[in-house]
Amino acid sequence: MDKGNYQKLNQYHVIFLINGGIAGLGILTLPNDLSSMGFNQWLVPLILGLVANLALFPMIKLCSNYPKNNLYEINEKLLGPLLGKIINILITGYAIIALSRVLRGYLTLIQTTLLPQKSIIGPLIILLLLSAYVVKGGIKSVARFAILGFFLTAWTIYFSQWPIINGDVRNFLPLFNFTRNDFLYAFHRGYFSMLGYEIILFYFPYIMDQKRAFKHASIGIWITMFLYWAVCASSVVYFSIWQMSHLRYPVLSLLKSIQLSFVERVENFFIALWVFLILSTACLLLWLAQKGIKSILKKPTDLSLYGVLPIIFLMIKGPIPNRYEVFLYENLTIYGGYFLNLWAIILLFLHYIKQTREGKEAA
Amino acid sequence: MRKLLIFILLLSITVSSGCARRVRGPKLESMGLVGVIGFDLAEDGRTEMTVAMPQFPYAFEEEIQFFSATVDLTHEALVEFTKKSDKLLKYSHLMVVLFSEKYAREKGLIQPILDMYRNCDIGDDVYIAVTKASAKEIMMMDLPHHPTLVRYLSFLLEPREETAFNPFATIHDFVRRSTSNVYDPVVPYIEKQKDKSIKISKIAIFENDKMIDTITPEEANILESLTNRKKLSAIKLETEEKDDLGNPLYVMIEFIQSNVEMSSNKNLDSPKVKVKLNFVGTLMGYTGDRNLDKPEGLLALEDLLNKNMEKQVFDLLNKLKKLKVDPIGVGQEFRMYHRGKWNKDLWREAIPNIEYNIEVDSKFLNTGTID
Amino acid sequence: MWFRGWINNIANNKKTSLQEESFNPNAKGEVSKEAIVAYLQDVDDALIKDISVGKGSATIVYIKSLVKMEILQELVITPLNTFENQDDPEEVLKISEKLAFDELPKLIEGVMSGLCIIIFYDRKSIYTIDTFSPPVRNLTSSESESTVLGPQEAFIEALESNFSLIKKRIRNPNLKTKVLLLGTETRNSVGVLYIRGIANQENVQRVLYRLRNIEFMGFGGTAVLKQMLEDKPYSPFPQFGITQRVDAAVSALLDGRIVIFLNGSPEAAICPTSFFEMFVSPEDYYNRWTTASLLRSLRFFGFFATIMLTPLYVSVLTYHPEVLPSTLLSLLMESRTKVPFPPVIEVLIIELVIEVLREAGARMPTKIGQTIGIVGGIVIGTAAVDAGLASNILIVLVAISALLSFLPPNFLMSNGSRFIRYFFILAAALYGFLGQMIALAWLLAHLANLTSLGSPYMTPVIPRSATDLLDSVLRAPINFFIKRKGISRSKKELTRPTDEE
Repeated sequence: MDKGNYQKLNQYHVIFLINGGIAGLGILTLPNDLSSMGFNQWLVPLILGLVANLALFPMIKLCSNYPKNNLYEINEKLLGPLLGKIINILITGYAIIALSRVLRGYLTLIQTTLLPQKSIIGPLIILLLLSAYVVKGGIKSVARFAILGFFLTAWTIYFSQWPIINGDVRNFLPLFNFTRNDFLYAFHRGYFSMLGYEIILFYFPYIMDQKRAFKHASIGIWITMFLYWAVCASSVVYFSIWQMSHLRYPVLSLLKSIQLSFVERVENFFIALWVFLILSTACLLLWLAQKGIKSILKKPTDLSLYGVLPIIFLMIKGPIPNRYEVFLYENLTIYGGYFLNLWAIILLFLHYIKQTREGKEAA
Repeated sequence: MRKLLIFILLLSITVSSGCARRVRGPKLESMGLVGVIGFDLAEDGRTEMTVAMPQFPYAFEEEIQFFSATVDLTHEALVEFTKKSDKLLKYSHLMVVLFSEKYAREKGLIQPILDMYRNCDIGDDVYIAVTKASAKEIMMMDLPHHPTLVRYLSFLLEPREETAFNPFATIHDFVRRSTSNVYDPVVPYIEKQKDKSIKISKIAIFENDKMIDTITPEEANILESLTNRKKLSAIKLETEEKDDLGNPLYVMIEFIQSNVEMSSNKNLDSPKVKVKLNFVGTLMGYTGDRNLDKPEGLLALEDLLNKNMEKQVFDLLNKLKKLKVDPIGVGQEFRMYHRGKWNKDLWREAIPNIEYNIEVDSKFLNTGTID
Repeated sequence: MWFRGWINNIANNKKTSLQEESFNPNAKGEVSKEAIVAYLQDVDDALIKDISVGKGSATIVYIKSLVKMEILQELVITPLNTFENQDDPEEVLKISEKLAFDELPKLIEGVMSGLCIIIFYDRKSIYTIDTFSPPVRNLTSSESESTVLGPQEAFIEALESNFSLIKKRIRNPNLKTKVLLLGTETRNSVGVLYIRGIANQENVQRVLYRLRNIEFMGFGGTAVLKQMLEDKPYSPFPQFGITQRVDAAVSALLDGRIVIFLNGSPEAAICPTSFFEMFVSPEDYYNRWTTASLLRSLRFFGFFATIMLTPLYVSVLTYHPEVLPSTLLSLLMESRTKVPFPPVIEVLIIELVIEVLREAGARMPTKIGQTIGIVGGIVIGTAAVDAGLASNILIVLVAISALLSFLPPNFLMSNGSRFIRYFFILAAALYGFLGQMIALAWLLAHLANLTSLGSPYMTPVIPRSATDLLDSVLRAPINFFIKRKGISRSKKELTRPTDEE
């Protein structure tokens, strides 16, 4: 019924799009990333959530000034066609790199635990094709998939009772026992887990209730933060500091502690279930990338979607030297995230300048 | 048309990656599921590993295959064994890991245990035990009255109410405790008995990852109560009273539920810890002739018990102080209020200086069906 | 949509003759006996006869096989016998309709639909009388959808009888019935029912638009028509509901849906429908809410269980044996030592055997059907295990999942789930748990993209309105049904007046 209706996303879609974009790969390695904070790492998700919420505010403000344009078009409007295109190319590159990081991280985990004797080419191709299938249905299809993925995986939080019971609650104290450097380092490494909310800059024109978009997006952020906090709290209770800083996938070990009466070890099942969260992040980033290519080329083709897939495949399986790989994946994605967050503020600034200049000209 | 192409591409990829395999793929029947691994110290200081691989785990009558090799790294042995066997060795159903006492005392357990922790196949809840003789002997021993080795060992080491003194050490627990900056691990100690069975005779105390001493099961019971285990096994107490013949009077309490409250003075230089232990139980046996149907009788008995328990707790804590280990986790009470960096050595220096103030409060729920 | 356009192009490009062109009953044509005889050439059961009526003569045209003698006598011959050269034959033929002399195609359509045509040449008037009386089936209970309680009447193959079954339950003049002629060769009628004021007008317009744009030779049954109307014909899942029961159709109409009948087929197609409603049986409303919720949950989760159960066996045995508790593991290993195939092949063999059994049982004549069914089930099952072709745990699992797949009341949905199961088995054989989850993700993505008449298919997982949840997997007591379902987008949301009205 809403074919042809441009504004398609209602509030639930926005909430779960934000949640689906954020929760994905980060949650699997989160306690490890934040391990420099030791036993106080459960504070970091709360602070990350606060920062994300604050950063969301200028983004929504910027988009409300251009309610029908996504960020690519705003770039071109405010900066002129050439500079805007360059920035758009950078943003599309960021989307592609982030997507590669997410898929590569998950597939490495799969190869370590679930399928040690197979290569990851098969699952990689299938995941890419599946993401392309979801993205082909548009942003609404991505949103629906994110909703389904959330409900299918959120009940895992019930199983956090096993780590908590088998752990030592006294690990929580002393509070605030960390140095500033510890905190900044943990914040930097954990920031990738938090990225994903800035994509609202790009699907804002599709939101039906744009006035209350900020409220809905904040709800999405805090739902995700609650889940992150629960994971961090369980791992603080269950692990020692050495374990947290040396285990590559702490959530896997948390899941190993589950003891049910009718099955032995269920962590493989949950790792397989995680594919829904990974897919919702990957589909959103793929949607972002193909929208970028469409705005650069100015011609709507299917190639914008299918052309991205071989690039990602080559990035993951291709011959990039290890040193560059670490820089590319670990650091570049986080810097890209910082850039997008600050970019919204810069653009807002430029917008006000432009408005006052136009006001002066009109007067 | 494009969709058709993609579909064909996808189909060919999946078929080609899955079907044409020259290497034999994994099948359940061709998997050799290792049940028990044992570590011994070889003469030249290297590790000797033995694995027990039952035909069908947990069946009642089965044949077990044993493989043994002397290696430097754990994984080397696994590769060796696969070469010798016609089955694909898998560790997914590993139940128990045994270490000989010599190995635990001299070499330390952290190296092989971390190797196993690293392996994704091996679960986190594999039980660990230290053996008096060599692990190989225990694994290969003949058990005519008991179910087969794997089942027997895993049931033996599983936490049950009767063996509630057992500190229930799994790989995860061991790693957590030995890498923790407060705790020290505690592992059950099993011995071969003359009647061809295995018994948990003592509990081994570790310092970081090397074994230093053992404690008796009664002491272990108290240890468990101090680590806030809620349900304990039966306690037999010798009271200070004597009967007419000069033999001490014994009291036996069962179905105990205990609760411990620890508090510290938060000062690492002169640490003081107050331990308050409550427990509630049912009186199961009493060799004296005190009249127990009146409340005064019970109360008097409770008083005796309290004194006795306090003495036992004090003895145990002293022993641990001398050994400079902290399996109970008293250090948590200090770490919780310590600002700045904390490490284990800091705590270990402070352990001998702890002054304990112990208070035990016991209560009898009832005395069974007779008084 | 482009698929339909492609078909349309092919249809329109053909050169057609008089007989094969798209038949339009509103075209003009001169009525004459020669023209009628030309049209009805070689139709040997057409009767074109000159009779004397009163003082003059008239030509009577009808098809013998469509008109019973008694009806003809009662409606036509007897009134005509009382005709005494009056001015207007209409005074005797009181239930007749008049046709103009240039409406030849309409006359032929009428004759083929069972009307009796009387042509008075001298008076230049043509009268048609509805004498359509073909053999129709008696009203019986539906064989494929049966319930314990509730009305047992099922639709039959005649359009008017189906209308009457519905109209005797909804006596509202707002119940609109539109009849269209469809099928280039069959030229049969299709009926569309909806309640004006409750059903959304856009939905109605959409249905009518789609129906009018179908150009096909004819439809064997409603299911064929339904497939041509659906949004996405490639999907294995039906997007419209189909039912033979009258109470299901009536509740759909009351909820603001549109019901489509085909003359000659005893099923009604209901649109729009959501995924969940394929698992709803009318008996859920007759049961009390606790039982209804239990049975609905069973059906809904049974769908997912049936596509996950046998693939789970494959993936656990091939890739993840650590999931199994040790006693079960030794049982499985012992039973599998005799089996020479890897788990995938074993599962595929047994699944295909079950499909063959089911299909053969459905096609077999009923006389031998019973015996062969029992033989197949017991012999194949037991003998296969004894011979070592399959393990007995697998037989149990396959039997349970086959039973679960028959739970959805909508036959097309259960067929769809049986088909999908093979993909899940292959996916599990390739990648274990990951393969199953990816296949499930694909299935959910596909379902999320489906629309039924433009409305999204996956309500009430993603509810259109919050009150949808009261009638979803768990059903609330009837008092709680205040609003209609969001998918019908009706203007009148409330099912009954609340305090203000």
